[in-house]
Amino acid sequence: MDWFDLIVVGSGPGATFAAYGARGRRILVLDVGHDAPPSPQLTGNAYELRRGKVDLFPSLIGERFESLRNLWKRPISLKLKSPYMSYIVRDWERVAPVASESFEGAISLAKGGLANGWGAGVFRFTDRDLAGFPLTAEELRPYYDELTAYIGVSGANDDLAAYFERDEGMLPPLRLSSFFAELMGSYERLRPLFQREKTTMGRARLAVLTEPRNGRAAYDYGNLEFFKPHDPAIYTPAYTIDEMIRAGAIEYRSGHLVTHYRDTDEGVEVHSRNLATDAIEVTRGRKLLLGAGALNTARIVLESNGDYQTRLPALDNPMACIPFFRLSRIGQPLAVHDTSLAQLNLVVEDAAWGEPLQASLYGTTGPLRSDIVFSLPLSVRANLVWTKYVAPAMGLLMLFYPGRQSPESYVRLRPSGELEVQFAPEPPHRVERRLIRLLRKMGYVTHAAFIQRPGSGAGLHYAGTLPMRAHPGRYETSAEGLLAGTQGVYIVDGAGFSRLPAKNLTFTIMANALRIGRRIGQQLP
Amino acid sequence: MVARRLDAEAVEFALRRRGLLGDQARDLARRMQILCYLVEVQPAYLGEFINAEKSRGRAWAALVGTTFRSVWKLVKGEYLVRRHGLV
Repeated sequence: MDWFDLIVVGSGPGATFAAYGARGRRILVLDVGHDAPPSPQLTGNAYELRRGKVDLFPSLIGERFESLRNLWKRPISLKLKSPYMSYIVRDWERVAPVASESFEGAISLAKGGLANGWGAGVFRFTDRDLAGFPLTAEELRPYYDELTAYIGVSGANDDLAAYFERDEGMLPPLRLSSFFAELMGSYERLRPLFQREKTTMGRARLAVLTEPRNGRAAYDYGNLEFFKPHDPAIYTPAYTIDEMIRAGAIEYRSGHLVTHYRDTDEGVEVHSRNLATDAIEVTRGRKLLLGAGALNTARIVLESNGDYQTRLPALDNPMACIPFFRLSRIGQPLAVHDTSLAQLNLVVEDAAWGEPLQASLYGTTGPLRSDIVFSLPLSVRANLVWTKYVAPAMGLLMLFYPGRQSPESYVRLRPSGELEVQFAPEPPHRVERRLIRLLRKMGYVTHAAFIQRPGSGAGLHYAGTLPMRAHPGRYETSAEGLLAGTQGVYIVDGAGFSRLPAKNLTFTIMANALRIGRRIGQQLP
Repeated sequence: MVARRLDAEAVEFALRRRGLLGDQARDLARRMQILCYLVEVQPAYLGEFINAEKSRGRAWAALVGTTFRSVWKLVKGEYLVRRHGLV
């Protein structure tokens, strides 16, 4: 009987770095693993390409009109619907179905997971963020340091270091556009006001190279992030999976959907469906590391327990999007060589929440204009004119709220195999008006009426379905990631998070998974 | 609308402002949005969507003018909807 040392499920940030930490062991990775299609047309700058003679219809709209999906289907992130990016969310509704009246998120079955289309924000969790975890920032620090060096993180040790921790290994930050350089200048002039308002701003921390590293080129400000997967400058776990495959560090079997496991004294028996043949295959490992994403990992655990009753907790970061405008910039040309990634981060301490809320600030160079034309209140032609001339004068402040434990936020497995997912909606909060007042004091035009609220689950920061506890009970995990009641099943993705601060969790998923994987690899005889 | 050569922009705007969520209203808005997508990716029309030159005066003139035009389109659209029994 063929036994692996470790079987790892998935290939997102958690699964990838759990495997990476345990290299040297005999590791099988089971994954559905849709891969990015080649996109040879999309090189250089998006806007220069669009001025050229190449027919970009297949790349921007798609032969199957993929870019138009939000007109017919429940809307998803604009970054996940273009033809070459849509593989990230391909098939999930059929293969890993969710039953929900309100869920507006998505699940990825792609190699690398949702991090193939992420904003690349990477933030260390402080002890304050880790309150409730059986972990400290000190324990995670060496793993964050290792990741910073390996994946490449750009940013600055500025005012936000109090919230993100100092990181001496960072590359220089991305170049600021003139719009955001002006904003940053206003912040620096008005720093005493911001301090009174307990609000801090600084450069975005991103898993994006501003210098070449490990064979990956530096970012070239091409504005193709909404259309082209696998920009080498923007990290995705798919790179590490491919690297481990090339090095023979893992056996990677794509096209496999893990359905359930059986934990025994000898090890773990893992059942997966071969999606090509529909046959059920059984593999065996001394340890099983579940990193299929908080929702799918919960699905696998509940199915393995034959449990169609229990509601597991579920967390996501609700969002509010606040557009703001600098009137003096109306009529400026669009800065097509600026990044569509986050340019600045902002943290605001709010007494009502008792913890910091975090925002990322973006320009408007990324998506197609047709994505937003009908969200304006005028006739089509007028909306087009407003979009054309106002976009260069516009910024977007994406505010994230902490994920809150609530009986209304849960996942439950149905006998049909659908995962019932509900996230409690988040009402508007006074902090939004504080931010609006601050923006106005800096000379920007904005209003509460402009605020857009993406739907439940749209944050894509799912976590907390099988939380870590110092003394774990059923459906909880230990500080070492071991699922209570099992001998060999470990949780290495966001499912194990004890709470969800208003901070992108991907970097911490990676660090925690690296910690767990390395420890397991070292402890196996 | 095509047979009667009606102003589609005006009709769509009037229906959208009424907040009508019926199939016909949604279909019309959807078709116009599809047209926007198809036109946007044509190089010849990029300038309709992206401002490439510094043009503060022209920009403000266009914004003001098109906003007034939009009001006219709403009035016209309402007239057309009622006149032709489009709802």
